[in-house]
Amino acid sequence: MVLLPYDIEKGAGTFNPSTFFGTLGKSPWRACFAEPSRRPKDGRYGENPHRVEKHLQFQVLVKPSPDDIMQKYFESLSALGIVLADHDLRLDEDDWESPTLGAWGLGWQVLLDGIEITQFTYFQQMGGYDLNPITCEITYGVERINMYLAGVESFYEMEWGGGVNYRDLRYSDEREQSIYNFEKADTKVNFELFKVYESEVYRLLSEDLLLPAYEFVLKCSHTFNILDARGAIGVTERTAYIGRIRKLSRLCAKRHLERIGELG
Amino acid sequence: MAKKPTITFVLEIGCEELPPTDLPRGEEQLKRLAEELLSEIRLSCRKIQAHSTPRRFILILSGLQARQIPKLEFVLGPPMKVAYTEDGKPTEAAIGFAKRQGVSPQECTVSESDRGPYLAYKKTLPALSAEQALAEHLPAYLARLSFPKTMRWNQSGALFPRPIRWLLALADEKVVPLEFAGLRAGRYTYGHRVLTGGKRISIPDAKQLLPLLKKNGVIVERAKRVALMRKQADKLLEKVSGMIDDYEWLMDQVANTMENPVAVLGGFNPRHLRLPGEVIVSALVGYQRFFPLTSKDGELLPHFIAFHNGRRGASATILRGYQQEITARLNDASFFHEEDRKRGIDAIAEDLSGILFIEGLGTVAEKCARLQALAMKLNEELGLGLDEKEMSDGVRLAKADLASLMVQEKEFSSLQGTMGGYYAQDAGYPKQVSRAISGHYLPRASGGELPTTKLGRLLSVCDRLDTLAGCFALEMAPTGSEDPFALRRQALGLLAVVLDTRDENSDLPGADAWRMDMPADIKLALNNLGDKFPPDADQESVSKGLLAFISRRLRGLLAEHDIRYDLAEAAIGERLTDPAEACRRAKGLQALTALPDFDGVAVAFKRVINIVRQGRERELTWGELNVEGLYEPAERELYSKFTETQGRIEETVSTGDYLSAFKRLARLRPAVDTFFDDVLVMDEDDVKRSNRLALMEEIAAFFLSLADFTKVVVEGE
Repeated sequence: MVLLPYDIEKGAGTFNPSTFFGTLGKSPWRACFAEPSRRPKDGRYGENPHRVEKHLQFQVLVKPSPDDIMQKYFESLSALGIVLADHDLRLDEDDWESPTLGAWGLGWQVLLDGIEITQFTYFQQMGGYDLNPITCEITYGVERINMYLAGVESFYEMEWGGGVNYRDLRYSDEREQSIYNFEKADTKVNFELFKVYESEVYRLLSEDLLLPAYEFVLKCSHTFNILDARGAIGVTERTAYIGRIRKLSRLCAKRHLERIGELG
Repeated sequence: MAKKPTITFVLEIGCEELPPTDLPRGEEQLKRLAEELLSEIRLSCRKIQAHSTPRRFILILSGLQARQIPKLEFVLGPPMKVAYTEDGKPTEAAIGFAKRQGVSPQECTVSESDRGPYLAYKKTLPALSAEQALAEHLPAYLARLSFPKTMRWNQSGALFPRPIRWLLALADEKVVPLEFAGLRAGRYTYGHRVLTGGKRISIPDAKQLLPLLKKNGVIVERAKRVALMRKQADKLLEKVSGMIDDYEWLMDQVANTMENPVAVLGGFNPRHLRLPGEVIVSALVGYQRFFPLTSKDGELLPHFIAFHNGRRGASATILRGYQQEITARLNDASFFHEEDRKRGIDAIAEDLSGILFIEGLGTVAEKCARLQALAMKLNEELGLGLDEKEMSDGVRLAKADLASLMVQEKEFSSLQGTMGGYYAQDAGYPKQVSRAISGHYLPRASGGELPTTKLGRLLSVCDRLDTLAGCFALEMAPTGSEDPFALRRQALGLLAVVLDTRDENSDLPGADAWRMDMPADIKLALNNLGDKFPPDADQESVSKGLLAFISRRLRGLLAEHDIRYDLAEAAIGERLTDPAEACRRAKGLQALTALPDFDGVAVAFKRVINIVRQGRERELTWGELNVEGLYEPAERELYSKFTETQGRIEETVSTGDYLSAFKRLARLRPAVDTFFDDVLVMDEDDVKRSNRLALMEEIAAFFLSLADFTKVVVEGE
């Protein structure tokens, strides 16, 4: 299934409903999609060659995970034009965890000559529920891989097509989003928004409107990320906010499992 | 006798890249399990070896006995009386027994036992070949391999740190068809991912596995990989006259991530050396596992050594990537550092009013204001004699780096405190202040380093006390496994600092332990919360809950120092006051258990305490002890022994020598025993009873001031 990005801000492709709900339950699921992912804290005013507030993930989901999935992944890199024999490909242990989604899995960060280009994960839990069968998620960092293929040292030097480069397309976006996230985001407004979004989740779930409710979980998560980038949440307090979002994700996962009749 | 035929057996568990720390763990277990298995299946073996790389665990059994030794087993059947009729015909019982053994009754024998003769069968257990026995029994042993974090990947439901993708099992040239984790073993393995393109290799003979893997780019033995790394690194170090210092653990870890390491020497722009060393090391080691280099006199060099798992010929390309990555990281760090220094720590600290500490407990700035008040009071109470200006600067700036760009970056967030210390130094604050700032998060983990300055210790204590008091006031105490604010760690850290005890190998309490009054300090911290204390909360019960929480941590700490749990409870008593004092008591009690009549002493003292409690439960009342009203010789004797002992013990206790104090106390036992033998406390005469209860109460109160003996567990009670 080739899908389109989901049109709500999210920190990673994993938040796409196709991933969140697709991993739950017994039926097989294979999908891929490009997903713009926003991480307010990663913004660098457009000045860091490898770090941006908004990057593109290409996500591949396969459930159940096939035996030769790793080999297929390497083949996919070769197909992209990366000659493996000329590089160092490191599979760094990664206990992947999304505390806000109540999800964890084991896998790797794949580093091409020291630069992370892929997150490779066998999901074990989603929304707090054990998964069976296991879904394999491969998340390609589009900018990073592209930069390599283009032989340039900065995202901004990549040609995106037709003579237009990444700088032309993205620079002012990066700069302005960074200013917003780090300096101008009104913390009071965002704290308020968080509360509103959170209560919407509960209200919509009580109306049995699952996808709309989940969309507000995504909004909560993004608002939290902005507040976090703004430095408005202390180290100790972070955990509590994360716990609140996790509770929402869990409720959505539960409702989904109820609907498909697989709540254990 | 001819030499017994032996074979070589190899097992390879082929995996997707395993976590480095699981390698040694798996090797050790494989070896141990193999030993257990071989003894169970009666096979001797000359040598058991286990190896691991990120993609495989290998077990080699050399000089393995080719076939089991036959074994006789005696199977007992029914008694002869039941097995045969009087005229010597086998009964149903005999026929059935023989049938189960697969023989006729005639093939059975008779076995004599205490209860008479029994029908029996001498069974010869089949002598399986080694490969049959291993195929049958090895999988159950493999299933016992355990790792801290495991996953599922296929329908077999097997748990392993990462997916198992192939099994190879050979007994000499024969495949051992064992099954494990949904796979069946064969004779195929795979070479180095990059160097051979992940080629499948057929292994003709068990002995050929290691040589063929080597030929295909895989160095199976860790020691050989480490030796290779060192050799290559040494050559590169010469070029820059550098040293790698104290990174043994990192060498081992890196050797566990590669099958064929290649060293490269990288560099970064020397202007980054202006960064604090911790930042550079954190950037190099934390994420990339690159080795920082120092000069002979310990200064960081603008170089690093890295290892890759690729082709030697690709080193230049790979290094370019490494340097690009590390440059981006250090650029980030330098940018943060410069911006932070430009603003200065005083200005940065002002941003703390925009950072929420914990919802309900205000901003970090509000927390710091609370810490000012708390620090001042504790400084006085503990008689620390700290300079007030330094103390106030230390508190104001302790948390400032939370608002700095550097610490706000996830990668460097572990440098909280450290950065604050540097920034304070940059701003010209005295060493006392900067060291207190960098030290006040200590200990970062249980057993970790403690703050070294008085001010640092005070900040650490106040910080933790405030967090604990605040969270308990807001009913955010940990429940079960949920401890989102890591309050258990906070409480343990608090104890470690006041006790001056780093871990189970340090003295308990340490030489520089502080004399605390926990209930008073908790009250202080709760009062100090001001309007953050919820109006509907009850201070008394919050304070009790927190004290109990800290007491539990103290009991845990004492247990780590091998103090009996019941003695720890007795030493802490009903209400913890000074943790250091409680520790001394606990150790005294523990030493006292060496007395041959320790249990007897404990029982006697328990009786004293319990009888007073009984009196209270029965709602009896009594007044002051009237010494003149003690009639019986036993009660007079007890009273005089007690008063004499009491004074002496108080002296001994003031020196902290609890063992002597307890020993002296133990000498009261005969008087106590005689008292209970000769005197009835609950006398029907009100006057006598009241006076005896008053006597008991006085003694019990003194006992309890030393230890709650009712908590001591006595065998047979």
